[in-house]
Amino acid sequence: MLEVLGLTKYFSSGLIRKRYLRAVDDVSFKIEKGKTLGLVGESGCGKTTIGRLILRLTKPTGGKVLFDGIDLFALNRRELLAIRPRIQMIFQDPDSSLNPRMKIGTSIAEPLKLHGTIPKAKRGQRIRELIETVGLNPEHVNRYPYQLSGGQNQRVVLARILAMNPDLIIADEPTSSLDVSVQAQILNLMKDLQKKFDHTYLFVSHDLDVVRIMADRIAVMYLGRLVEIGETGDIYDCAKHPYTQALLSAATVDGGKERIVLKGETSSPIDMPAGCRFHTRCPRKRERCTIEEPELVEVGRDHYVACHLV
Amino acid sequence: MIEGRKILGSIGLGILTIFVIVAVFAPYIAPHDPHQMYRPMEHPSSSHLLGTNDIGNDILSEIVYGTRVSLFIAFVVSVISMLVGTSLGLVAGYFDKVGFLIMRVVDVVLTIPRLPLIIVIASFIRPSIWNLIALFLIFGWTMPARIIRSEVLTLRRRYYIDATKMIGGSDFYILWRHILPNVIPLVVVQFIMEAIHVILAESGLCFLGLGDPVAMSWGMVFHYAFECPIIYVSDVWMWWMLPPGLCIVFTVLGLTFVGYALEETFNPKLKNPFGGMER
Repeated sequence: MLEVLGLTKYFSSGLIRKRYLRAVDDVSFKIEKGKTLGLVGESGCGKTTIGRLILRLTKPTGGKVLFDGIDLFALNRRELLAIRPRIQMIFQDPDSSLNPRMKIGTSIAEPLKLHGTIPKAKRGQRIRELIETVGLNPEHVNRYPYQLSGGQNQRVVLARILAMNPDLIIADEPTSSLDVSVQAQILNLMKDLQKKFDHTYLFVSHDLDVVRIMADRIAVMYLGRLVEIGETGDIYDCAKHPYTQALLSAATVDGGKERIVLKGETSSPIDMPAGCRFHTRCPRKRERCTIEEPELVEVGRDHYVACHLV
Repeated sequence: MIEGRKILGSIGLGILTIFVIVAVFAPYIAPHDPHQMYRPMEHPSSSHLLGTNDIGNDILSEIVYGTRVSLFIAFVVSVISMLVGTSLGLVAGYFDKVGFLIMRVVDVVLTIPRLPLIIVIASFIRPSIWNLIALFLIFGWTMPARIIRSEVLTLRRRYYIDATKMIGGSDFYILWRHILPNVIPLVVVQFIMEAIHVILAESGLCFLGLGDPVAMSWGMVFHYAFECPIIYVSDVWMWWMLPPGLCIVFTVLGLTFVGYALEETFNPKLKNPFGGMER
Protein backbone atom coordinates (compact mmCIF):
# COMPACT_ATOMS: atom_id res chain seq x y z
CA MET A 1 0.00 0.00 0.00
CA LEU A 2 2.46 2.61 1.19
CA GLU A 3 6.18 2.17 0.92
CA VAL A 4 8.58 4.80 2.17
CA LEU A 5 12.18 4.43 0.98
CA GLY A 6 15.09 6.43 2.34
CA LEU A 7 12.91 9.47 3.02
CA THR A 8 15.06 12.45 3.91
CA LYS A 9 14.30 16.06 4.76
CA TYR A 10 16.90 18.66 5.69
CA PHE A 11 15.82 22.16 6.58
CA SER A 12 18.56 24.66 5.77
CA SER A 13 19.14 28.03 7.32
CA GLY A 14 21.71 30.75 6.83
CA LEU A 15 22.81 32.26 3.54
CA ILE A 16 26.59 32.10 3.63
CA ARG A 17 27.35 29.43 6.19
CA LYS A 18 24.50 27.04 5.57
CA ARG A 19 23.43 24.93 8.52
CA TYR A 20 21.19 21.95 8.11
CA LEU A 21 18.56 20.65 10.45
CA ARG A 22 18.21 16.97 9.75
CA ALA A 23 14.52 16.52 10.50
CA VAL A 24 14.10 13.18 8.76
CA ASP A 25 17.10 11.11 7.80
CA ASP A 26 16.92 8.03 5.59
CA VAL A 27 13.65 6.63 6.94
CA SER A 28 12.13 3.54 5.33
CA PHE A 29 9.03 1.57 6.20
CA LYS A 30 6.03 -0.18 4.68
CA ILE A 31 2.36 -0.24 5.57
CA GLU A 32 0.05 -2.92 4.24
CA LYS A 33 -3.51 -2.24 3.16
CA GLY A 34 -5.99 -2.02 6.01
CA LYS A 35 -3.24 -1.98 8.63
CA THR A 36 -2.04 0.67 11.02
CA LEU A 37 1.55 1.70 11.56
CA GLY A 38 2.13 3.62 14.77
CA LEU A 39 4.94 6.15 14.54
CA VAL A 40 6.23 7.13 17.96
CA GLY A 41 9.00 9.32 19.30
CA GLU A 42 9.45 12.43 21.38
CA SER A 43 8.49 15.84 20.10
CA GLY A 44 10.79 17.25 17.46
CA CYS A 45 11.98 13.87 16.23
CA GLY A 46 10.44 14.31 12.78
CA LYS A 47 7.20 12.33 13.09
CA THR A 48 4.97 15.11 11.80
CA THR A 49 7.43 15.99 9.03
CA ILE A 50 7.15 12.43 7.68
CA GLY A 51 3.37 12.81 7.44
CA ARG A 52 3.68 16.15 5.67
CA LEU A 53 6.30 14.78 3.29
CA ILE A 54 4.09 11.90 2.22
CA LEU A 55 1.31 14.38 1.43
CA ARG A 56 3.81 16.66 -0.32
CA LEU A 57 2.82 19.54 1.92
CA THR A 58 6.58 19.86 2.52
CA LYS A 59 9.22 19.38 -0.17
CA PRO A 60 11.43 16.35 0.41
CA THR A 61 15.24 16.45 0.22
CA GLY A 62 15.53 12.86 -0.92
CA GLY A 63 13.99 9.42 -0.95
CA LYS A 64 10.88 7.92 -2.45
CA VAL A 65 7.32 7.35 -1.39
CA LEU A 66 5.45 4.66 -3.26
CA PHE A 67 1.68 4.66 -2.92
CA ASP A 68 0.18 1.61 -4.59
CA GLY A 69 3.37 1.53 -6.62
CA ILE A 70 3.08 5.16 -7.73
CA ASP A 71 6.07 7.35 -6.88
CA LEU A 72 4.40 10.35 -5.22
CA PHE A 73 7.46 12.59 -5.56
CA ALA A 74 7.60 12.09 -9.33
CA LEU A 75 4.06 13.34 -9.95
CA ASN A 76 3.35 16.66 -11.61
CA ARG A 77 0.69 19.07 -10.33
CA ARG A 78 -2.22 17.52 -12.17
CA GLU A 79 -1.33 13.95 -11.33
CA LEU A 80 -0.87 14.99 -7.73
CA LEU A 81 -4.32 16.62 -7.62
CA ALA A 82 -5.78 13.41 -9.01
CA ILE A 83 -4.20 11.21 -6.36
CA ARG A 84 -4.50 13.51 -3.36
CA PRO A 85 -8.07 12.59 -2.41
CA ARG A 86 -6.85 9.06 -1.69
CA ILE A 87 -4.41 10.26 0.97
CA GLN A 88 -5.79 12.43 3.75
CA MET A 89 -4.43 13.78 7.00
CA ILE A 90 -5.93 14.46 10.41
CA PHE A 91 -4.14 17.19 12.33
CA GLN A 92 -3.35 17.58 16.02
CA ASP A 93 -5.62 20.49 16.73
CA PRO A 94 -9.21 19.95 15.57
CA ASP A 95 -10.14 23.56 16.28
CA SER A 96 -7.68 25.01 13.82
CA SER A 97 -8.41 22.25 11.28
CA LEU A 98 -11.72 23.96 10.52
CA ASN A 99 -12.24 27.46 9.20
CA PRO A 100 -13.69 29.40 12.16
CA ARG A 101 -15.93 31.44 9.85
CA MET A 102 -17.46 28.48 8.07
CA LYS A 103 -20.48 26.55 9.29
CA ILE A 104 -19.94 22.84 9.97
CA GLY A 105 -22.25 21.89 7.10
CA THR A 106 -20.34 24.09 4.66
CA SER A 107 -17.05 22.59 5.82
CA ILE A 108 -18.29 19.06 5.23
CA ALA A 109 -19.80 20.03 1.86
CA GLU A 110 -16.50 21.57 0.73
CA PRO A 111 -14.74 18.35 -0.36
CA LEU A 112 -17.89 17.25 -2.21
CA LYS A 113 -18.09 20.61 -3.96
CA LEU A 114 -14.40 20.78 -4.88
CA HIS A 115 -14.27 17.21 -5.97
CA GLY A 116 -17.56 17.24 -7.82
CA THR A 117 -18.09 13.49 -7.77
CA ILE A 118 -21.59 13.82 -6.38
CA PRO A 119 -24.29 15.83 -8.18
CA LYS A 120 -25.48 18.90 -6.33
CA ALA A 121 -28.93 17.50 -5.62
CA LYS A 122 -27.55 14.49 -3.78
CA ARG A 123 -25.02 16.39 -1.69
CA GLY A 124 -27.44 17.09 1.17
CA GLN A 125 -28.13 13.41 1.60
CA ARG A 126 -24.43 12.52 1.45
CA ILE A 127 -23.67 15.13 4.11
CA ARG A 128 -26.36 13.65 6.38
CA GLU A 129 -24.85 10.20 5.84
CA LEU A 130 -21.39 11.43 6.71
CA ILE A 131 -22.59 13.22 9.83
CA GLU A 132 -24.32 10.05 10.98
CA THR A 133 -21.26 7.91 10.25
CA VAL A 134 -19.06 10.01 12.54
CA GLY A 135 -21.73 10.20 15.24
CA LEU A 136 -22.78 13.84 15.05
CA ASN A 137 -26.30 15.30 15.15
CA PRO A 138 -27.84 16.67 11.95
CA GLU A 139 -28.53 19.91 13.81
CA HIS A 140 -24.77 20.51 14.17
CA VAL A 141 -24.72 21.45 10.50
CA ASN A 142 -25.68 25.03 11.21
CA ARG A 143 -23.18 25.56 14.02
CA TYR A 144 -19.75 27.12 13.90
CA PRO A 145 -16.61 25.28 15.05
CA TYR A 146 -16.31 27.37 18.22
CA GLN A 147 -19.77 26.20 19.28
CA LEU A 148 -18.66 22.56 19.28
CA SER A 149 -16.26 20.72 21.58
CA GLY A 150 -12.82 19.57 20.48
CA GLY A 151 -14.05 16.00 20.18
CA GLN A 152 -17.03 17.03 18.05
CA ASN A 153 -14.77 19.11 15.83
CA GLN A 154 -12.47 16.13 15.32
CA ARG A 155 -15.55 14.18 14.20
CA VAL A 156 -16.30 16.93 11.70
CA VAL A 157 -12.73 16.64 10.44
CA LEU A 158 -13.24 12.89 10.04
CA ALA A 159 -16.49 13.49 8.13
CA ARG A 160 -14.68 15.86 5.76
CA ILE A 161 -12.00 13.26 5.19
CA LEU A 162 -14.51 10.44 4.65
CA ALA A 163 -16.19 12.56 1.98
CA MET A 164 -13.05 12.05 -0.12
CA ASN A 165 -13.17 8.21 0.20
CA PRO A 166 -9.49 8.00 1.10
CA ASP A 167 -7.38 4.84 1.18
CA LEU A 168 -4.61 6.12 3.42
CA ILE A 169 -5.16 8.37 6.41
CA ILE A 170 -2.25 10.01 8.16
CA ALA A 171 -3.31 10.82 11.69
CA ASP A 172 -0.95 13.29 13.33
CA GLU A 173 -1.63 13.00 17.05
CA PRO A 174 -5.39 13.22 16.41
CA THR A 175 -6.26 12.94 20.08
CA SER A 176 -3.41 14.73 21.84
CA SER A 177 -5.44 17.90 22.44
CA LEU A 178 -8.55 16.07 23.70
CA ASP A 179 -9.72 14.91 27.13
CA VAL A 180 -8.95 11.29 27.96
CA SER A 181 -12.61 10.22 27.82
CA VAL A 182 -13.11 11.93 24.47
CA GLN A 183 -9.83 10.46 23.22
CA ALA A 184 -11.23 6.96 23.66
CA GLN A 185 -14.39 7.86 21.70
CA ILE A 186 -12.43 9.26 18.78
CA LEU A 187 -10.02 6.30 18.76
CA ASN A 188 -12.91 3.84 18.78
CA LEU A 189 -14.57 5.75 15.96
CA MET A 190 -11.34 5.61 13.96
CA LYS A 191 -11.07 1.85 14.53
CA ASP A 192 -14.69 1.33 13.47
CA LEU A 193 -14.18 3.42 10.35
CA GLN A 194 -11.06 1.44 9.53
CA LYS A 195 -12.98 -1.83 9.74
CA LYS A 196 -15.86 -0.46 7.70
CA PHE A 197 -13.91 1.24 4.91
CA ASP A 198 -10.65 -0.76 5.01
CA HIS A 199 -8.56 2.36 5.67
CA THR A 200 -4.82 2.23 6.05
CA TYR A 201 -3.51 4.38 8.89
CA LEU A 202 -0.20 6.00 9.61
CA PHE A 203 -0.80 6.88 13.22
CA VAL A 204 1.67 9.43 14.55
CA SER A 205 1.75 9.84 18.31
CA HIS A 206 3.89 10.25 21.36
CA ASP A 207 1.38 8.45 23.53
CA LEU A 208 2.39 4.81 23.79
CA ASP A 209 -0.90 3.72 25.35
CA VAL A 210 -2.83 5.12 22.41
CA VAL A 211 -0.49 3.58 19.87
CA ARG A 212 -0.73 0.18 21.55
CA ILE A 213 -4.51 0.18 21.03
CA MET A 214 -4.39 1.47 17.47
CA ALA A 215 -1.34 0.03 15.76
CA ASP A 216 -0.56 -3.32 14.17
CA ARG A 217 3.08 -2.36 13.80
CA ILE A 218 5.11 0.27 15.58
CA ALA A 219 8.03 2.36 14.35
CA VAL A 220 10.11 4.23 16.92
CA MET A 221 11.96 7.37 15.88
CA TYR A 222 14.79 9.23 17.51
CA LEU A 223 16.19 12.46 16.05
CA GLY A 224 14.96 11.88 12.52
CA ARG A 225 15.90 8.21 12.32
CA LEU A 226 14.06 4.95 12.84
CA VAL A 227 15.63 3.06 15.72
CA GLU A 228 13.22 0.14 15.91
CA ILE A 229 10.28 -1.19 13.96
CA GLY A 230 8.20 -4.31 14.47
CA GLU A 231 4.84 -5.87 15.34
CA THR A 232 3.13 -4.11 18.23
CA GLY A 233 3.34 -7.17 20.45
CA ASP A 234 7.05 -7.68 19.76
CA ILE A 235 7.85 -4.05 20.50
CA TYR A 236 5.96 -4.04 23.79
CA ASP A 237 7.16 -7.45 24.97
CA CYS A 238 10.74 -7.59 23.77
CA ALA A 239 11.96 -4.15 22.74
CA LYS A 240 15.61 -4.38 21.75
CA HIS A 241 16.69 -0.75 21.41
CA PRO A 242 17.65 0.99 24.68
CA TYR A 243 15.61 4.05 23.63
CA THR A 244 12.47 1.99 23.05
CA GLN A 245 13.01 0.27 26.38
CA ALA A 246 13.29 3.61 28.12
CA LEU A 247 10.17 4.94 26.39
CA LEU A 248 8.17 1.87 27.35
CA SER A 249 9.31 1.94 30.93
CA ALA A 250 8.03 5.50 31.17
CA ALA A 251 4.59 4.57 29.86
CA THR A 252 1.85 3.96 32.40
CA VAL A 253 0.79 0.53 31.16
CA ASP A 254 4.11 -1.00 32.14
CA GLY A 255 3.97 -0.39 35.87
CA GLY A 256 5.63 -3.65 36.82
CA LYS A 257 9.07 -3.05 35.38
CA GLU A 258 11.64 -0.70 36.76
CA ARG A 259 11.71 2.72 35.18
CA ILE A 260 14.71 3.64 33.07
CA VAL A 261 15.41 7.33 33.47
CA LEU A 262 17.38 8.83 30.61
CA LYS A 263 19.98 11.43 31.50
CA GLY A 264 20.63 14.62 29.60
CA GLU A 265 18.80 16.35 26.82
CA THR A 266 17.99 15.24 23.31
CA SER A 267 20.87 16.35 21.08
CA SER A 268 20.15 19.17 18.71
CA PRO A 269 19.21 17.98 15.22
CA ILE A 270 21.52 20.70 13.86
CA ASP A 271 24.75 19.55 15.56
CA MET A 272 24.12 15.86 15.38
CA PRO A 273 26.55 13.68 17.41
CA ALA A 274 28.78 11.32 15.43
CA GLY A 275 28.00 7.62 15.54
CA CYS A 276 24.71 6.51 17.02
CA ARG A 277 22.49 9.54 17.61
CA PHE A 278 21.34 8.15 20.90
CA HIS A 279 24.80 7.54 22.39
CA THR A 280 24.84 10.79 24.38
CA ARG A 281 21.97 9.51 26.51
CA CYS A 282 22.31 5.76 26.16
CA PRO A 283 22.78 3.90 29.46
CA ARG A 284 24.66 1.09 27.68
CA LYS A 285 26.96 3.10 25.45
CA ARG A 286 30.08 1.39 24.00
CA GLU A 287 33.03 3.00 22.26
CA ARG A 288 31.80 1.79 18.90
CA CYS A 289 28.56 3.73 19.36
CA THR A 290 30.39 7.07 19.29
CA ILE A 291 32.08 6.34 15.96
CA GLU A 292 29.84 4.24 13.77
CA GLU A 293 26.18 4.83 13.01
CA PRO A 294 24.17 1.61 13.37
CA GLU A 295 21.99 0.29 10.55
CA LEU A 296 18.61 -1.39 10.95
CA VAL A 297 19.14 -5.17 11.31
CA GLU A 298 16.55 -7.89 11.51
CA VAL A 299 16.40 -9.39 15.01
CA GLY A 300 13.14 -11.32 14.76
CA ARG A 301 10.30 -11.89 12.33
CA ASP A 302 9.69 -8.47 10.79
CA HIS A 303 11.42 -6.84 13.73
CA TYR A 304 14.30 -4.46 12.94
CA VAL A 305 16.58 -2.60 15.34
CA ALA A 306 19.33 -0.04 14.75
CA CYS A 307 21.72 -0.68 17.62
CA HIS A 308 25.25 -2.10 17.88
CA LEU A 309 24.35 -4.05 20.99
CA VAL A 310 21.97 -6.51 19.34
CA MET B 1 -16.58 48.28 29.22
CA ILE B 2 -18.38 46.37 26.49
CA GLU B 3 -21.57 48.39 27.01
CA GLY B 4 -19.52 51.57 26.74
CA ARG B 5 -18.15 50.45 23.41
CA LYS B 6 -21.64 49.73 22.12
CA ILE B 7 -22.92 53.16 23.16
CA LEU B 8 -19.95 54.93 21.59
CA GLY B 9 -20.41 52.87 18.43
CA SER B 10 -24.06 53.86 18.16
CA ILE B 11 -23.20 57.52 18.67
CA GLY B 12 -20.51 57.31 15.99
CA LEU B 13 -22.84 55.54 13.59
CA GLY B 14 -25.51 58.19 14.25
CA ILE B 15 -23.10 61.04 13.49
CA LEU B 16 -21.91 59.38 10.28
CA THR B 17 -25.48 58.62 9.16
CA ILE B 18 -26.42 62.28 9.54
CA PHE B 19 -23.45 63.40 7.46
CA VAL B 20 -24.11 60.80 4.77
CA ILE B 21 -27.78 61.87 4.53
CA VAL B 22 -26.68 65.50 4.27
CA ALA B 23 -24.22 64.61 1.51
CA VAL B 24 -26.65 62.51 -0.50
CA PHE B 25 -29.63 64.86 -0.21
CA ALA B 26 -27.65 68.11 -0.31
CA PRO B 27 -29.89 69.77 -2.98
CA TYR B 28 -32.98 69.21 -0.81
CA ILE B 29 -31.36 70.17 2.48
CA ALA B 30 -29.43 73.27 1.45
CA PRO B 31 -31.64 76.38 1.80
CA HIS B 32 -29.98 78.15 -1.14
CA ASP B 33 -27.87 77.51 -4.21
CA PRO B 34 -24.28 77.74 -2.89
CA HIS B 35 -23.17 79.70 -5.98
CA GLN B 36 -25.97 82.26 -5.73
CA MET B 37 -24.69 85.68 -4.62
CA TYR B 38 -26.52 87.63 -1.92
CA ARG B 39 -25.39 90.64 0.07
CA PRO B 40 -21.89 89.86 1.36
CA MET B 41 -20.94 89.54 5.03
CA GLU B 42 -24.47 89.28 6.34
CA HIS B 43 -24.89 88.12 9.92
CA PRO B 44 -27.03 85.05 10.65
CA SER B 45 -30.72 85.65 10.10
CA SER B 46 -33.80 83.60 9.33
CA SER B 47 -33.07 83.62 5.58
CA HIS B 48 -29.31 82.93 5.99
CA LEU B 49 -28.93 80.75 9.10
CA LEU B 50 -25.14 81.07 9.08
CA GLY B 51 -24.97 84.38 7.26
CA THR B 52 -23.14 85.00 3.99
CA ASN B 53 -19.43 85.15 3.14
CA ASP B 54 -17.28 87.87 1.57
CA ILE B 55 -18.69 87.29 -1.92
CA GLY B 56 -22.26 86.82 -0.74
CA ASN B 57 -22.65 83.01 -0.85
CA ASP B 58 -24.92 81.43 1.76
CA ILE B 59 -22.47 79.76 4.21
CA LEU B 60 -24.84 77.00 5.40
CA SER B 61 -25.52 75.91 1.80
CA GLU B 62 -21.80 75.93 1.11
CA ILE B 63 -21.17 73.65 4.08
CA VAL B 64 -24.01 71.31 3.12
CA TYR B 65 -22.60 70.91 -0.39
CA GLY B 66 -19.08 70.73 1.08
CA THR B 67 -20.11 67.58 2.94
CA ARG B 68 -20.51 65.93 -0.45
CA VAL B 69 -17.02 66.82 -1.60
CA SER B 70 -15.26 65.94 1.65
CA LEU B 71 -17.01 62.59 2.11
CA PHE B 72 -16.71 61.72 -1.58
CA ILE B 73 -12.94 62.13 -1.59
CA ALA B 74 -12.56 60.15 1.65
CA PHE B 75 -14.85 57.38 0.42
CA VAL B 76 -13.31 56.96 -3.03
CA VAL B 77 -9.73 56.98 -1.70
CA SER B 78 -10.52 54.50 1.09
CA VAL B 79 -12.41 52.08 -1.15
CA ILE B 80 -9.74 51.97 -3.86
CA SER B 81 -6.94 51.81 -1.28
CA MET B 82 -8.60 48.85 0.42
CA LEU B 83 -9.24 47.01 -2.86
CA VAL B 84 -5.65 47.43 -4.02
CA GLY B 85 -4.07 47.02 -0.59
CA THR B 86 -6.07 43.93 0.31
CA SER B 87 -5.41 42.15 -2.99
CA LEU B 88 -1.70 42.90 -2.84
CA GLY B 89 -1.58 41.96 0.85
CA LEU B 90 -3.28 38.62 0.15
CA VAL B 91 -0.91 37.80 -2.70
CA ALA B 92 2.15 39.02 -0.79
CA GLY B 93 1.27 36.96 2.27
CA TYR B 94 0.51 33.80 0.37
CA PHE B 95 3.27 33.69 -2.25
CA ASP B 96 6.73 34.25 -0.78
CA LYS B 97 8.65 35.49 -3.82
CA VAL B 98 6.02 37.93 -5.13
CA GLY B 99 5.44 38.97 -1.54
CA PHE B 100 9.08 39.88 -1.10
CA LEU B 101 8.95 42.19 -4.13
CA ILE B 102 5.68 43.83 -3.13
CA MET B 103 6.90 44.42 0.39
CA ARG B 104 10.09 46.13 -0.78
CA VAL B 105 7.94 48.56 -2.79
CA VAL B 106 5.80 49.11 0.30
CA ASP B 107 8.92 49.73 2.38
CA VAL B 108 10.11 52.40 -0.01
CA VAL B 109 6.71 54.15 -0.18
CA LEU B 110 6.31 54.00 3.59
CA THR B 111 9.67 55.66 4.25
CA ILE B 112 8.51 58.74 2.32
CA PRO B 113 6.96 61.24 4.72
CA ARG B 114 3.38 61.23 3.54
CA LEU B 115 1.89 64.64 4.21
CA PRO B 116 4.93 66.80 3.33
CA LEU B 117 5.31 65.07 -0.03
CA ILE B 118 1.59 65.43 -0.77
CA ILE B 119 1.93 69.15 -0.03
CA VAL B 120 4.92 69.47 -2.34
CA ILE B 121 3.28 67.58 -5.22
CA ALA B 122 -0.08 69.29 -4.70
CA SER B 123 1.56 72.69 -5.02
CA PHE B 124 2.92 71.74 -8.45
CA ILE B 125 -0.07 70.04 -10.03
CA ARG B 126 -3.35 71.65 -11.02
CA PRO B 127 -5.60 71.49 -7.98
CA SER B 128 -8.62 69.32 -8.68
CA ILE B 129 -10.56 66.66 -6.81
CA TRP B 130 -9.26 63.85 -9.03
CA ASN B 131 -5.67 64.96 -8.64
CA LEU B 132 -6.09 65.00 -4.89
CA ILE B 133 -7.62 61.52 -4.97
CA ALA B 134 -4.74 60.23 -7.10
CA LEU B 135 -2.25 61.76 -4.68
CA PHE B 136 -3.80 60.10 -1.64
CA LEU B 137 -3.96 56.79 -3.51
CA ILE B 138 -0.19 56.71 -3.99
CA PHE B 139 0.15 56.17 -0.26
CA GLY B 140 -3.22 54.73 0.72
CA TRP B 141 -2.64 51.13 -0.35
CA THR B 142 0.62 50.57 1.56
CA MET B 143 -0.58 50.20 5.15
CA PRO B 144 -3.46 47.84 4.36
CA ALA B 145 -1.13 45.78 2.13
CA ARG B 146 1.39 45.42 4.93
CA ILE B 147 -1.13 44.65 7.66
CA ILE B 148 -3.13 42.18 5.57
CA ARG B 149 0.08 40.44 4.53
CA SER B 150 1.22 39.89 8.10
CA GLU B 151 -2.18 38.44 8.97
CA VAL B 152 -2.11 36.14 5.93
CA LEU B 153 1.34 34.94 6.98
CA THR B 154 -0.13 33.54 10.20
CA LEU B 155 -3.44 32.41 8.68
CA ARG B 156 -1.82 30.31 6.00
CA ARG B 157 -0.11 28.18 8.65
CA ARG B 158 -3.44 27.06 10.10
CA TYR B 159 -4.29 23.42 9.63
CA TYR B 160 -7.47 24.15 7.69
CA ILE B 161 -5.39 25.60 4.88
CA ASP B 162 -3.44 22.32 4.58
CA ALA B 163 -6.71 20.43 4.95
CA THR B 164 -8.19 22.39 2.04
CA LYS B 165 -5.13 21.68 -0.10
CA MET B 166 -5.64 18.00 0.56
CA ILE B 167 -9.22 18.05 -0.65
CA GLY B 168 -8.06 19.70 -3.84
CA GLY B 169 -8.57 23.42 -3.22
CA SER B 170 -6.48 25.64 -5.51
CA ASP B 171 -4.44 28.57 -4.24
CA PHE B 172 -7.00 31.02 -5.56
CA TYR B 173 -9.82 29.09 -3.90
CA ILE B 174 -7.96 29.05 -0.57
CA LEU B 175 -7.29 32.79 -0.73
CA TRP B 176 -10.86 33.61 -1.67
CA ARG B 177 -12.82 31.23 0.53
CA HIS B 178 -10.59 30.72 3.54
CA ILE B 179 -8.18 33.61 3.94
CA LEU B 180 -10.15 36.63 2.70
CA PRO B 181 -13.15 36.12 5.06
CA ASN B 182 -10.72 35.98 7.97
CA VAL B 183 -9.00 39.28 7.12
CA ILE B 184 -12.19 41.28 6.39
CA PRO B 185 -12.34 42.66 9.97
CA LEU B 186 -8.84 44.07 9.53
CA VAL B 187 -9.81 45.58 6.19
CA VAL B 188 -12.79 47.36 7.74
CA VAL B 189 -10.64 48.84 10.50
CA GLN B 190 -8.05 49.94 7.94
CA PHE B 191 -10.83 51.49 5.85
CA ILE B 192 -11.85 53.67 8.80
CA MET B 193 -8.25 54.66 9.56
CA GLU B 194 -7.72 55.65 5.95
CA ALA B 195 -10.97 57.65 5.80
CA ILE B 196 -9.94 59.59 8.93
CA HIS B 197 -6.54 60.30 7.46
CA VAL B 198 -7.93 61.48 4.12
CA ILE B 199 -10.52 63.80 5.67
CA LEU B 200 -7.87 65.43 7.86
CA ALA B 201 -5.24 65.60 5.12
CA GLU B 202 -7.68 66.95 2.54
CA SER B 203 -8.86 69.76 4.80
CA GLY B 204 -5.23 70.46 5.67
CA LEU B 205 -4.34 70.83 2.00
CA CYS B 206 -7.36 73.04 1.35
CA PHE B 207 -6.45 75.14 4.35
CA LEU B 208 -3.05 75.70 2.76
CA GLY B 209 -4.77 76.73 -0.45
CA LEU B 210 -3.92 73.56 -2.35
CA GLY B 211 -7.49 72.34 -2.69
CA ASP B 212 -9.83 72.45 -5.65
CA PRO B 213 -11.27 75.99 -5.78
CA VAL B 214 -14.26 74.78 -7.81
CA ALA B 215 -15.25 71.93 -5.53
CA MET B 216 -16.03 73.62 -2.25
CA SER B 217 -15.14 71.14 0.52
CA TRP B 218 -15.24 71.90 4.25
CA GLY B 219 -11.54 72.64 4.08
CA MET B 220 -12.08 75.20 1.30
CA VAL B 221 -14.81 77.01 3.28
CA PHE B 222 -12.36 77.16 6.14
CA HIS B 223 -9.60 78.36 3.85
CA TYR B 224 -11.62 81.26 2.41
CA ALA B 225 -12.74 82.27 5.89
CA PHE B 226 -9.16 82.28 7.06
CA GLU B 227 -8.07 84.44 4.14
CA CYS B 228 -10.62 87.12 4.97
CA PRO B 229 -9.05 89.63 7.44
CA ILE B 230 -12.38 90.61 9.00
CA ILE B 231 -12.65 87.36 10.92
CA TYR B 232 -9.79 88.47 13.17
CA VAL B 233 -11.57 91.58 14.33
CA SER B 234 -15.21 90.54 14.51
CA ASP B 235 -17.58 87.72 15.47
CA VAL B 236 -17.80 86.47 11.88
CA TRP B 237 -15.57 83.43 12.66
CA MET B 238 -18.33 82.03 14.85
CA TRP B 239 -20.58 81.26 11.87
CA TRP B 240 -18.01 81.15 9.08
CA MET B 241 -14.98 79.31 10.46
CA LEU B 242 -16.33 77.29 13.36
CA PRO B 243 -19.08 75.27 11.55
CA PRO B 244 -16.88 73.64 8.86
CA GLY B 245 -14.23 72.97 11.53
CA LEU B 246 -16.82 71.28 13.74
CA CYS B 247 -18.02 69.20 10.78
CA ILE B 248 -14.49 67.87 10.30
CA VAL B 249 -14.11 67.19 14.03
CA PHE B 250 -17.43 65.35 14.29
CA THR B 251 -16.86 63.23 11.19
CA VAL B 252 -13.48 62.09 12.46
CA LEU B 253 -14.96 61.50 15.90
CA GLY B 254 -17.82 59.45 14.42
CA LEU B 255 -15.37 57.31 12.44
CA THR B 256 -13.19 56.81 15.51
CA PHE B 257 -16.14 55.71 17.66
CA VAL B 258 -17.31 53.23 15.04
CA GLY B 259 -13.79 51.86 14.71
CA TYR B 260 -13.54 51.49 18.47
CA ALA B 261 -16.83 49.59 18.64
CA LEU B 262 -15.94 47.34 15.70
CA GLU B 263 -12.70 46.40 17.39
CA GLU B 264 -14.79 44.67 20.03
CA THR B 265 -17.08 42.95 17.55
CA PHE B 266 -14.18 41.64 15.53
CA ASN B 267 -11.98 40.67 18.43
CA PRO B 268 -13.62 37.74 20.22
CA LYS B 269 -11.08 38.04 23.01
CA LEU B 270 -12.64 41.34 24.08
CA LYS B 271 -16.13 39.86 23.92
CA ASN B 272 -15.28 36.82 25.98
CA PRO B 273 -15.21 37.40 29.74
CA PHE B 274 -12.49 34.73 29.96
CA GLY B 275 -10.29 36.84 27.71
CA GLY B 276 -7.72 35.00 25.64
CA MET B 277 -9.38 31.62 25.93
CA GLU B 278 -9.61 31.15 22.23
CA ARG B 279 -11.16 27.87 21.23
